[in-house]
Amino acid sequence: MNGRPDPITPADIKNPVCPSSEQKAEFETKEGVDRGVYRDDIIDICMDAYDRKFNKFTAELSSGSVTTNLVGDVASGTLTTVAGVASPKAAKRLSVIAGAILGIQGAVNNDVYANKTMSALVSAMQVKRLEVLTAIVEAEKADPQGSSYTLNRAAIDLRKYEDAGTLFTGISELNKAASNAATKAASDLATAQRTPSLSVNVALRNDDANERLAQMTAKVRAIPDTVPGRAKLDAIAQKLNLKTDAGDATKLKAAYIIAELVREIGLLDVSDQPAKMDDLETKVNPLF
Amino acid sequence: MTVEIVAKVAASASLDVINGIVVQNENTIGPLTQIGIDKGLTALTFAVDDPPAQHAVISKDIDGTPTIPDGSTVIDTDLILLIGLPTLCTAVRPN
Repeated sequence: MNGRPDPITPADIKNPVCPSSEQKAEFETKEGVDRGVYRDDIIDICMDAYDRKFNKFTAELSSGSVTTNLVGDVASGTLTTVAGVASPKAAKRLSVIAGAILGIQGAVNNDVYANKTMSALVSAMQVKRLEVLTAIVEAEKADPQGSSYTLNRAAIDLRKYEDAGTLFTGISELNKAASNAATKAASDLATAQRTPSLSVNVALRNDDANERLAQMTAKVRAIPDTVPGRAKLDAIAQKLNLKTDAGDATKLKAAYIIAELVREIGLLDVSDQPAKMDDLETKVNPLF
Repeated sequence: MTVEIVAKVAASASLDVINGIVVQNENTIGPLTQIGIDKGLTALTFAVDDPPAQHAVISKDIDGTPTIPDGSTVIDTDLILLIGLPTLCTAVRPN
């Protein structure tokens, strides 16, 4: 193993099939719009041939007549990676039913998993082929006379189109999707970790106390994010013996206060809650 | 920035009590965003925001399948404690 491909030899340079050397030579004799039309005709012929081969290939994949252990193993690993970076919600739901899954996992038919793997690979190949096809069509439209998008250049894109219909491309595309999903999951986690979370113990509250509490917290939430607004929140926090940081965002200050108001009522006996609300209103309402 | 308050409810609470607590705290804190269990208590997470127009409702999943009424959006599915028992439940909000 040299760490690089072997140098090419004359035997490696084969006559291309589509477009052929003869077609390329014919293209060079054309001028103007005829040149573009001829190029497009050859591209259509080649794509049609590649499409028929691809459809036959994917049909064989689906029927199971073309599979290898290597492909199966690699593809299954890829799909496991995709599942591993599912959205936090999906992951959470999966964890809830994990016990059930563990119980039936042994009974899962390998063919079912293999079919899903192949289905995902075929979809990934189709997406990549569509990307290349779009690039070819756009290049054709941008150069109707074939002056810069020559048949030689089209041949390079046609090779990409052919290569897009391989399992290796499919696996590569799935890995890219998994990597993108992992990046997003990491970003979501970082966002979640920046989100402050406050905790209070609660029980059902007396209706009257709850209504008065809701009115008070609505007033706290309505305090604007201005210098006087932040000063007002600091004053309320101080009245409730809360320590807030001067650098805290307005919304965070408000949340500390709301959490404290809910906590004050918290687990008090229902009959004691109205009196507690009287006390809180006396302290806080003059500051709004 | 989203700020959330986690309201913790006694493990012995029934589903009716928990739904009552959801309504009360959506009015005082803001919309329910998550349900779960934390340190032996049912944890209901509320975003600090204006009360939602429609209150969230929590119901038990049946055979692992959530009950989602037509015209409702799922908020969260997780285990919570109902009369001491971990129970798979789903919180939804009518649209």
